[in-house]
This record gives sequence, C-alpha cells and structure tokens, in this order.
Amino acid sequence: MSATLERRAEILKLARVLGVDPPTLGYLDAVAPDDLRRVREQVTDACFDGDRDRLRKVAFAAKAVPGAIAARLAQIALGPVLCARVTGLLDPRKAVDIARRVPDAFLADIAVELDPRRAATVIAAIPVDTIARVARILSGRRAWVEMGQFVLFLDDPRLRAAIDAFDDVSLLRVAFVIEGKERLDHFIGLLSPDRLDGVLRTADREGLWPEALDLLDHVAPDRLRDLGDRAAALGVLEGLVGAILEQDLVDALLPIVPGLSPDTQAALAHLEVIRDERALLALVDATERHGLWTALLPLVTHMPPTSRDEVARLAARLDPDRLTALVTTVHEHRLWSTFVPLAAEHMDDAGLERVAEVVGDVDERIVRDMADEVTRHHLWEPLLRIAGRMRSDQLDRIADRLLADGLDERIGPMLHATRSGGLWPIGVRILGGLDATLLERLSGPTAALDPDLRAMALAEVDGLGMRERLGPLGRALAT
Amino acid sequence: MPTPPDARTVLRDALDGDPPDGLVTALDDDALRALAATVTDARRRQARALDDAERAALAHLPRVLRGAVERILR
Repeated sequence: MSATLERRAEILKLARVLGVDPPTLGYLDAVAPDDLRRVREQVTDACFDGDRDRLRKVAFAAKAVPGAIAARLAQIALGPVLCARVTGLLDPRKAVDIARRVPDAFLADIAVELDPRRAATVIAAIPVDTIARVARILSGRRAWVEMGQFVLFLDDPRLRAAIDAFDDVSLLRVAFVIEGKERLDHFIGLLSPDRLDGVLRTADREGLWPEALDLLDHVAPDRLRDLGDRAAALGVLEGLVGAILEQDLVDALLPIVPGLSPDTQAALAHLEVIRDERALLALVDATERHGLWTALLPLVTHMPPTSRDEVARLAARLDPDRLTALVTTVHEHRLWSTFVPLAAEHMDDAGLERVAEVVGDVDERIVRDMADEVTRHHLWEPLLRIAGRMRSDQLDRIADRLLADGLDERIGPMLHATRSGGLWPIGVRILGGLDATLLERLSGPTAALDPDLRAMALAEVDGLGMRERLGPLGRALAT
Repeated sequence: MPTPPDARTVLRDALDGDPPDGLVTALDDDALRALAATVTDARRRQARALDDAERAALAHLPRVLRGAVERILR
C-alpha cells in the first residue's frame, strides 16, 4: 500500500478510537503511518488502562447477572464503545452467551470498536456462523478499514467464514488495509480457485487494481505465479496495466514481474497498452526512480523489437553514473544475457558508445562474469559489437579477462561470432590485446578449431599485419 | 508564575507514555497540543460514558439484582 493510502487508513482508525470525525485530524497528514499506528495503540491503551478498574467491575457485574439481562444492559446502557472495551475482560463463555442474545447489527457495531489485541480469546470463542453474519453486515456497510483491524485475529474456520461472507470488492478492500500483511498469503490461500478468478475479474471491472497489486506484492512466490497466470488466462492484464499507468503505480507493478511465469511475462510484454511510447517511458522512468532494473530487464526480453528499441533508447540516455549503476545491477543479478543484446541490437550508435564506455571501465571480475554468461548464452556477437565501440586502451585492458578463463570454451565461440557477424577487426584487436602467456595458452585450443574458421581468421590477421604480434596463436591459426 | 509544560509533555501526559519520536518531529507545537486535547477529551468522554452506563444499567436492572450489582460497581 502506498504511504498516502496507509496514512489515510491509519487516520481513519485513530479517528474511530478517539471518537472524532477523520477530517478533524487533518493536521496528522505529515505523520508517518507507523507512528500513527503506534499512537493509536497508545490511545487505545490509555483509554483502557485509565478506566481499567471500572471496566473490570462492569465485566464482573455482567458475570453476576443472567445472560439475557446482561445482553439487554449492553444495548441500552453500555452501547457498542464500552462493550468493546469490556469485551476483553469478560469470561469468553459469558461473552458468547451475551453475543448470541444481541442483534447481529449490534455485534457489528462492537466489532468495529474492538481492540483485537485484548479480545483475542473472546473472538476465538464466537461461533463461526455468528462471525459470518457479522462479516456480511460489515461488508455491506463497507467498513473495510475496521474489518482489516481484526480479521487476521480470526482462526482459520472463522477467517474462512468471514471471507465467504465478504463480496469480492470487500475482500480486496479489506486485504488492502489489513493489519499483519505477512498473513495475507495465508488469507489468499483460503480462497478457492473460482473465488480467485472472481476477485481478479472484480479488480478489473471495479478498477481495484491498486488493491489487487498490493495483495500480489505480499503473497508467496508460487501463489504470485499462479495469480499472474490466472490474470493472463482471464484476459485482465490489459486492464491491470492500463490502470497502473493511469494511476502512476508502475513502481507497484515492477517488483512482482520477476515472480511471474515466463508465459505471463511474455503476455504482459506484448500488451498493446505497454507498447505505447509513453507507457514505456513511464516504465523506464519508474525503473530508474525506484532502482527496479532487475524487474524491468526480464520483461524486456519478452517485448517485441519496437518496444525493445524504445527501452534501449531510453536507457542509453541515462547519465554516466546511472548507466554505471545499471551495469552494476546487471552484473549483480546476472542479467547480461538480457542487457548485452538490448544494448548491441537496439541502441543507436551514440547509445552503444555510452554503454561501451561504461562496460570498458568495469572491474575485471565483472568482465570475467560477463564473458561467462555471454558464452553460455551464445551472445559473443552482440558483445563484440559493444567491444567494437570501446577505446583501444579499454579493449587492451579487458581482452585478457574476456578470454583468460575457460579458454577452451570461449575462443571457439568468440571466433565463430566474429565470422558470422563479420566482426574481424574487433575480433583481431581483442586477440592482439592478449599478453604473451595467454597467446601461448590459447594456441592449443585454437589449433583444434575448424580448419575453415582458422583459415579465415588467419587471412584477417594477415590482412591487419598481426600474425607476428600473435606469435604462437598466429602459428596455431596457420597449422 | 509556573512555566506551562511543553507540547510534548502535554501529549505524553494525555497518552500516559512517550509519543513516537517521528510524530513529535512531524508536528508543530499547536498540532501536538491539539492531539493531546483530543486524546484527553476522548478519555473524559469515556469516563462520563461509564458513569452514564452504570446509572442506566442500575436503573434497568430488576430490583432483586440491583443491590448486588451496585456493590460490585461502587
């Protein structure tokens, strides 16, 4: 939930505890939601502790009279607020006896005033069918914030009854403001597959995607994947993304993207609404502002070429510090297989040069990891295109690291990519940057390469007058 | 003439405990005092509501139970 919405919910709860209209607390708009929650708990405690002895006496008196009389006095003398304060002090059996004698609407009035921390044992003793009826009333009253306060204090049978009593709108709204978001996954786990589909359809129909996104952000990875697949199968992704873009909530969408299945990521990336230039700008902008490249790059791999061009164009415009931060993120999250083709195949010349400038200066360990991943994903050709834009000193510096480890694995793919891409000048320049030890070590694996490839390489090496410089490697090519 | 307590102290007295630092930092003195007054008012209202509830409960109790309940409440 965004801080603004969380603050609004907290002010609503605090206003209820204080018995005032929420607008009168407008001066609290600058306070952080966590601080509002803490002060609400302090107010609740102060109201309770300040009159603890008197409330205890009321509870004791309730015990002394028959249930029917206690129920009548609860309604005509105490009212819902005092009943809520006394509830936690009652013997649970007495509380249940009174509860079954008062109208459900009165119980609902008490429920919204209750401090569930103090009334947990009583809540646990209320019959499941009573919980269901009260939940239905509160759902009808749209008392989502109030329900969100206590719903997760219910055990599974009661929580299930409450969930069944909520309509889909209430379910989404309650989940949005619920206290104890760490239990949201369990909450969602109690929903049947049909109900989940219904909730997703409702989110789409009623424009409740912010609520649904918040929910998706709190479920376990398997469930997120399942919900994402369901949303794609129901055809509601377009609505989801449209709402997100409209409400500037891209930063809420991106973190869940890596958890979606590849099929759902692909469906997302191909949505008409996301191909739009402004949408892509919003995506990249939010990515930058919130440091979410690890979320955007996997999505980029599924995008159509025109969208990738656009993302690459936007990424290429990042200032050098941000571009360096992006490259570091790419390294830390092993995203070279996405980034290298994106830069090489979708950036314009200026963009490619800026990326080459940054990559050419990274630390040797990063170069080695990049070369590993590029080899594994058969991406030497795009990497050579980036390398081709580097300054000579940069290329000389990283040449050893590009080919130093795993010689057997890398020299072949590198030369093959050089041939298929017509990139001999840069391929030969890299070979020329290797030190004498590496040239010696490289000669064995090179001699074992396909004769045609060696012959072609040798011709290019000779054309550039590099055979002597390559020493043992030049001889291996000529074998 | 004694110095009036500062706004943080007034709120602490109303809450029976130190308010969160973040809240104190975020609000000016007027807002802190307004919140303290609202809390104090809520507590007073609850005390009055308890008075009224006790009186109403006793008035509605069957005579046979009234004495026993009154002894518990007093």
